[in-house]
Amino acid sequence: MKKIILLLAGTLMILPVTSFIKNFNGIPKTWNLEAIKAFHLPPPDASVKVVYAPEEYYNSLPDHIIYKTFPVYLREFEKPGYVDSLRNLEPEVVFDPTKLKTPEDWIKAGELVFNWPVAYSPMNDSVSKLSKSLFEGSNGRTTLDGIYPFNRYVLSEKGKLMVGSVSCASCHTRIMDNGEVIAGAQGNLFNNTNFANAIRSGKIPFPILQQGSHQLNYAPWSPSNVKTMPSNANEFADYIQSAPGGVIDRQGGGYEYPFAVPSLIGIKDIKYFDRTGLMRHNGPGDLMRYAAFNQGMDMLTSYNGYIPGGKNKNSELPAPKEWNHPFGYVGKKYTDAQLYALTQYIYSLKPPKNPNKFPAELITRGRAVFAKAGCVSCHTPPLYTNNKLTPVNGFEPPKEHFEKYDIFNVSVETDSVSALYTRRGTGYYKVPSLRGVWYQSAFFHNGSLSTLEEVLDPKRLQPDFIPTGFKPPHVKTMAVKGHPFGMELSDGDKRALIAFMKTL
Amino acid sequence: MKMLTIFLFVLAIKSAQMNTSPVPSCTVNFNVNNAGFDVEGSIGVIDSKIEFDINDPSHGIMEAILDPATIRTGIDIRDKHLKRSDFFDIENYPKIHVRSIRFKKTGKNKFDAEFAITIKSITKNIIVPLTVRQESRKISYTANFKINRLDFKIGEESLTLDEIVNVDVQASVNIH
Ligand code: HEC
Ligand code: HEC
Repeated sequence: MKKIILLLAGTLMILPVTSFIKNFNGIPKTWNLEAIKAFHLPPPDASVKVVYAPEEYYNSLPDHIIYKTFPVYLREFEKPGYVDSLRNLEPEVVFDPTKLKTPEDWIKAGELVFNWPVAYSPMNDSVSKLSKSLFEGSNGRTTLDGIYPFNRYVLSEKGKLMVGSVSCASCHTRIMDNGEVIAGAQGNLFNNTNFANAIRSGKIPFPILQQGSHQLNYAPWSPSNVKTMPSNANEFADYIQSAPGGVIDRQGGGYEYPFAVPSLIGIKDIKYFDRTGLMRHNGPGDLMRYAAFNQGMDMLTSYNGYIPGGKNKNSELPAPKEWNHPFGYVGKKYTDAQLYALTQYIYSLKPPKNPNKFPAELITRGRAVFAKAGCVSCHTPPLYTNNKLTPVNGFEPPKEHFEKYDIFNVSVETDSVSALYTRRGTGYYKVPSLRGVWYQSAFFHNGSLSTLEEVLDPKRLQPDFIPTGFKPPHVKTMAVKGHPFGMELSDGDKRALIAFMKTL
Repeated sequence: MKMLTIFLFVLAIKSAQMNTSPVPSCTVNFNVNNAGFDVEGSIGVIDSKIEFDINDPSHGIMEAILDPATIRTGIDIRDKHLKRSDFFDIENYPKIHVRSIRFKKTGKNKFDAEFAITIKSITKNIIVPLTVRQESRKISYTANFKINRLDFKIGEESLTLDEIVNVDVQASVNIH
């Protein structure tokens, strides 16, 4: 490929690159190891050797074929005979890149990819497995018409219906209090009651859970007092049930260190992905790589020889059939066209209409407080982030990082475990954008806070504080340390500041 | 961009009346515009000397050493940032030096003072308008001037933080 570019460049001088891209639809190559190395930040311990799955391996994975999928309803909302009627349909392949001509075609096709589940379990019942009671007292949500968007029915073979899960939409869809469904916003609908029950009842054997948890959470450089797995089944069930909406465990995070789900709306302008800034974002190719890694491939990266999803004691890459991803991801890859379409869809996402109405003077005052209190230096308009990384306590950026990355060189002093001792760790937390905080309910990297009032409340720095966001289940009170900005403001200034933030 | 910033500076002081009061008291405050608002701060002076006779300015000497570790801007984490490598880098440059080069009388009690200011091993000469006032029990010295923080590699260019830092130096020496 390089040769072709060079040749073209040599002969045509000016035209070459653009015409090359046009000829090939402008679709970047996902598994480009050079790009993969360049877009990753290294682990905080620079001696750790990270090796990504080789190109031949990636290419050898079967492609996802994207079929038409169908919503999963709560039983109480399901039309009689709905499930059986799906079983009798002909499977229909809906993603066909040869039919995509206009940018709008690509966006529409990307929505299909966004909603395409990548883990499946057989559906043999005639009515939904989900019912209202499952949602009572849980953090899960459904739409007003009783759809649970975490799952979709998948029909890839006539007669064989599957329940699909963990599509992008599973975690990146928000259901507002008024029932409005917002694609790409901080996801808040996941209901893990069934999973927790299966754990408590022993239906899922505890050793398997422990092993899965270790695979998900172990970072070879983390000290032995950082747990990678639960000590008993109830502890684990409590843990997964304690995560409030907007907070989800992600592979490569830490045990009892989940992450606040980011909003994908407006992500085109965001330079670093993940709270830890693990991957850089310079265009669709990087977002494609992000999706490929996070939907399976990051479990096949080797860290000092430890391959989280590897076979033979985590030492070797598994064949596609041998994948044992604890979240159930199958051993398949998205095609480059699918991933490209996905990026076009994600880039097209628009924020919902902001219903907040505040008096103009309050906003003006809030904007001034935002500047005076120093927020602007990090949460700089118009993105309300300076797109930089802040080193965490316990990490001193090496000199060469200042040339390579965008560093705002001071720690905001929030808890550093996720940044130091997990596979997503880089030694940094990025400055998150405050756009859309009005439709966000999990704040700070682990989602320990659920309101802007709490962010500004000095009481949260004390050990007797009860976080309303995520806290480990066995913990009654816990300080949510760091980011002390704006805490000393008067109540009036705080009210104005919060109102202002809710307009962003 | 770095957090708001900073800055510093100083001048110094000590008076001709060395016999009576050898140690001037000296404060250095600064302000810099960040996103439309002034950030105010101070830097502590750890040593200073003033030998200045308003009738013989050409032989005057003013010197000061400032400690950037004492920078205060009202936001603790901002102060920490100002001490790090991208701003004052106090580990490598624990002191700021200010030394007079020459004085020129410009009016009654008014002088143009040329100072050499050294921050992060970068030295710049700047001319500072100096006012000297003799009061009943002390002589006071006042100077207001601007410096460009980028001249001294204090932070980088920033969308919000101005490059120009206003510095206000007050010094006084007691007499009897
Ligand atoms: C199981 C839940 C889950 C699924 C499935 C999922 N995500 Fe995420 N996603 C998360 C969480 C949690 C984070 C935050 C991770 C972190 O901060 O380290 C995240 C982070 C991201 C980010 C980084 C954004 C930022 O600003 O930091 C992007 C981009 C993203 N996801 C895109 C996708 C896409 C595209 C898909 C489908 C291919 C997908 N995600 C599937 C939960 C999920
Ligand atoms: C030194 C840079 C810096 C300054 C100054 C700063 N912030 Fe932040 N802010 C951050 C970082 C970094 C995080 C993420 C912390 C984490 O995830 O642990 C954050 C998180 C937040 C969040 C939670 C957003 C989310 O998605 O988690 C809010 C709200 C916020 N800041 C508001 C403010 C306000 C209001 C001010 C001023 C009073 C302010 N910040 C000043 C860097 C800064």
